[in-house]
Amino acid sequence: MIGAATQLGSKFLGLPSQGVGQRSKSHVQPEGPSYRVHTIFDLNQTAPTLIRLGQDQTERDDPRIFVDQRSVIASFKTSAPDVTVDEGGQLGPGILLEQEQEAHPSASYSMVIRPPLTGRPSIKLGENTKKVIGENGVRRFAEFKGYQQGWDYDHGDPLSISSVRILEWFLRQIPEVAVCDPSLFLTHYGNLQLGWEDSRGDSVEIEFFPNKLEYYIEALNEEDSVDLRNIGDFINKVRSIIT
Amino acid sequence: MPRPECPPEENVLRAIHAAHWDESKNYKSSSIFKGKEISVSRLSVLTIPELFMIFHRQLDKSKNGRIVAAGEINVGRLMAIGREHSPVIELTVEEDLQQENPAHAVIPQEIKQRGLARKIIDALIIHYEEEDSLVDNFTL
Repeated sequence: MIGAATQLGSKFLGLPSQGVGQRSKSHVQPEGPSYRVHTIFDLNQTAPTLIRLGQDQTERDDPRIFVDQRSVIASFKTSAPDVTVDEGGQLGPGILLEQEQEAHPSASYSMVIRPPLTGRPSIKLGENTKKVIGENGVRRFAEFKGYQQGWDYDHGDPLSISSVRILEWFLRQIPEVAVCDPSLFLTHYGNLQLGWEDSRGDSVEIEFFPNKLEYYIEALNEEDSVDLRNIGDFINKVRSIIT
Repeated sequence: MPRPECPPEENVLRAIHAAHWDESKNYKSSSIFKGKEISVSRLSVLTIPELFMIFHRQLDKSKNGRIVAAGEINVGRLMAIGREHSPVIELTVEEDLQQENPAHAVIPQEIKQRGLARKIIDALIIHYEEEDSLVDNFTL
């Protein structure tokens, strides 16, 4: 049903048919009231920006769409009694993007789609990421959150929440990047990027797209992109140039 | 109507946004020159201090960061870097006058490779606003 909800939302707004990632672990009990999962989408993003669980007060099973000045809500409900939403932790981005394919026939699902925000003050970095990028990186991140569409003389998308998530996930896999003292950048695509010079003064850059990484390793004269589903080899490559 | 190409003798200036240069570590991102229609300004039309004023006028009243410096490169040198790169790319600079910046020009080709962008960045002569303001005042 999540997939169906996503498809309707996608059709309605022309978004890619993906995106109901699940981030908070919560089991809804079989007995008692049914619940509603709200997944709030940014129009520029394919991954959800926020998930909330709330009690469902209605008995209607048919899809409903609500529109107000700020949001479009595609709402679905099913009769089965259980839903599992996974929180943060060790979820890989591949799982994050694919999760909507997995049926959770137990709950009602609401997808709330909001227009792009003019600022991103609510996005926060995890402790691991802060440790890797340091105080300077945290300060730069705080600046990037305030940038608006067209921030670099009409070029430049606002900070992508999906990119922040991918960066956080990546750094949980390879926190030893901290020894490189990486710089944090915002690209014109609204993605975060890490960059540093290795011990020989050669550049390393990794840009975190919502569905892939792009990298440049000068010492290897190599630049390419990596699908997030096949990222293990790339992590080993980065580990090899660090150590 | 095609935009006139800037001759190889000219020098151009690329404004460098804070998002693309970590000043505290003096590390620059390839984003400075990666992409299509990269904006530059012709130093044959306006001086560096005049251009800094324009850069600030466009950004300073917003929350969209700031220009931390500007990089100067000769058009002929830019073209040579493109030809020396593998795969070869024929880079040009085309005039693109704007009301707020009559010196505005663009590199119309898409620079996709980070390695190429980094070579261009390495060739830049970096100018800071304070330094150029002082030079300007001294000249006056």
